[in-house]
Amino acid sequence: MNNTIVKEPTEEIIGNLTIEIPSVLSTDTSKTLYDLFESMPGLEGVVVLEGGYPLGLIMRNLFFQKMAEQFGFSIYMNRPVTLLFDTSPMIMDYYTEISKVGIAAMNRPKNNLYDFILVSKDDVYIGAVSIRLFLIELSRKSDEKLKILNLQHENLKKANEQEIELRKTVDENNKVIQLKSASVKNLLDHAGQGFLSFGDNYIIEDEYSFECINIIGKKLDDVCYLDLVTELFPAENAAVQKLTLKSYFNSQSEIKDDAYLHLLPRECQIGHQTIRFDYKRIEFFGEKKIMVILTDITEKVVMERHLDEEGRNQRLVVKALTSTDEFKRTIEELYDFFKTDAYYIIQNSTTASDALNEIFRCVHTFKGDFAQFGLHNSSKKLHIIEDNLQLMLNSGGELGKETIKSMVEQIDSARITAEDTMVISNILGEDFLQESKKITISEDNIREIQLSVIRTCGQRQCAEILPSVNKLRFKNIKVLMDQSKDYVEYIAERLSKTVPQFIVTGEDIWIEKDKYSKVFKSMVHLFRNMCDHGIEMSDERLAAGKDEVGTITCHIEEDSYHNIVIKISDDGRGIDAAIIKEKALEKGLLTKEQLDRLSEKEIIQIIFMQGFSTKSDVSTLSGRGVGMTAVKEAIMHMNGHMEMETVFGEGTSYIITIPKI
Amino acid sequence: MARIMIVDDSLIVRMNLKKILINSGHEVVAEASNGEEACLKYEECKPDVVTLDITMPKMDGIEALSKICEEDRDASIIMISALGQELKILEALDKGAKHYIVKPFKESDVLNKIDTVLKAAV
Repeated sequence: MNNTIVKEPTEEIIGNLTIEIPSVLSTDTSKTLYDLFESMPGLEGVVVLEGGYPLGLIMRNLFFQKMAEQFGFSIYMNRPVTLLFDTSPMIMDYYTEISKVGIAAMNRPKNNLYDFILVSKDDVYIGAVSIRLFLIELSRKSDEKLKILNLQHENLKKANEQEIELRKTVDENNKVIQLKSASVKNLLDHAGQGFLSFGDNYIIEDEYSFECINIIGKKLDDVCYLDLVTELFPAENAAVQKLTLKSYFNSQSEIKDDAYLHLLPRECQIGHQTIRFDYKRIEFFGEKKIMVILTDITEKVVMERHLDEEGRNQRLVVKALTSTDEFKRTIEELYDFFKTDAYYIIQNSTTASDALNEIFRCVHTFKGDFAQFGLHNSSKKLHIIEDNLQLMLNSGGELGKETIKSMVEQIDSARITAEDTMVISNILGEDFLQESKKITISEDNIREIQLSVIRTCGQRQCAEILPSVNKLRFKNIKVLMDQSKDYVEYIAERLSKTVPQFIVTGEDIWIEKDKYSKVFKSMVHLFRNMCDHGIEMSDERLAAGKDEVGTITCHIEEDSYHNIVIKISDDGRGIDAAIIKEKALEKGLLTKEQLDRLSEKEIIQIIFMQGFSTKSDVSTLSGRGVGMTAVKEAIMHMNGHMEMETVFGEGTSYIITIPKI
Repeated sequence: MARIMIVDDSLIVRMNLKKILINSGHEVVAEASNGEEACLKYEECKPDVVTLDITMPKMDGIEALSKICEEDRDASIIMISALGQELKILEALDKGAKHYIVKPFKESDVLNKIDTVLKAAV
């Protein structure tokens, strides 16, 4: 046996498996690294070099794991790579025998099991060995040896006189192979994770690791993975899984393989243990397979569940604060839906199943919206309702509108949102959700939120959450105005109009948002008016030679008296002074004599007079004055003033001037 | 950077997606709130990538997907789905969708999937 090794020493040393891998400098940022990994999808890891000496190692998996952590991307991206690297990678001498490397690598902590081994020759770094390639190399060698064995077997038959000699060699070769397979299997057995793989016949291959037996509780020899799935997962889930696996093996594209693998379940409860399932696409001699990696995460799950709950609640509160309007609107819409909209749908649908379908779809949309806002408890409850509706839809039996109606009646929207609103009320106060028009968060409240964030969140989360809480106090007016963009979109959609362009220009002026909140809140009336009456329908605009899509512009600047000047303009149809004059006369607000004395500009200002417009007006001017007085009052309350300029056919501008405080 | 069309019946989801995409330098060339609209706008704009919601009024995402793929076999479509829609996703992948995203989504998730799909399309 020794003879073989001495005869071909170069084949058995780690140096022959060494490859060059890309390197970065310790001063490079994670962005450099990210680009490097992104540009080379096959790249498993990168070495950090300083003056030709390896300072450390960063593996792809770990890197992306860090990036995927909450806020990982923003935290690491512009910082040096040294924050992420492993400072004590395994370094081996060029001449070390492969089998020794296997044992040494096996003894590493399980997190680093698949890390590169760095190789040095005469104490100079020359490259790295990939464990993946290392395993492949080992199996390739075994295969070669097997071929040789077969050949030699033939020779045995043919050449009797050499039989004894050859048998010796065969035995030796056999021993080498056994030794090597044992070292690979050892490597996997000690990883603390279970590894198993299968191809398109779904039969689990013999080399599954010992830990699998511990986790699953039985031997897996010749077991069909599909049977295992049936055994471990709920029936419905198992069925989807089987279909997914079938599609995976039929798929011809690697990206789709990835998508299919993503669809497979990540976790499974086996006995009292929670087991994580990771799936890897592997290719073995051109044949596509799946490697399943099983990890016992029971303890981690218990700990995380607690942290998760806290973290989720924090996110919910931050979300509630940063997008207050949409947030409340969504909750209010849900209430309205089960109070009125759902009944309207039932009444106006042709058939009961049409109504059910439509309600199902709406609930589904609500579920998504709530989840997006971090209202995870509400989202879960909606999910249950959705499931029940699905059952009704699938039952196929004759459904009456009355049945649906009584089902809707049983839904209590307050209960859907109860848990989440409680979290919000506890932190932000009862008023936050009840008062729909204004928000008042005292400084104390903000401080309390900041403290509770510091108490319950890690440093990284703090870095992300605290600035957004701080931002609540000081805001750039441009940013504040820009938030109305969403409202404009919302209103335009409601009015079935093309969403106008919304442009904010001018100076960056920072203000304490709270002090101006009334003014900014009241501006919704301006925007509503612009969308409703100012900006024409597309065909009317085209006919007038305008762009099909309207534009709303907000320009912000500071005048020489330290006043903030906000000019909000639309390019709509403007206001016809003649009509206003007529209206004012009709309503008896002013006499003909008084009106005749006014300039056209002054006449336009009549719009702001109390009582100029009422909801009952349904003419072209209807509603134009609604809310205008509210805007004006809010501005005057701040000792500011508002002017309106309009050119009939060309558009309207509101110029708001408020002192900077 | 890619030209992207967003299809979703929820305005909030569209807004969120749009914010994410625009902030990272992509261009949102069209938006649609149902499958019918999506098919028409796809013809018109020929976006590089489509994010397509599954549950929508008039024509759902699966039907829209089939229609779009019929016209353009190489269409890069990423399905947007809610939790518990595995079977629908599977159907979509089998019918030509390139990948999927589950709501509620994270920014990094959305951008990664789009990059993956874009790379494959080159």
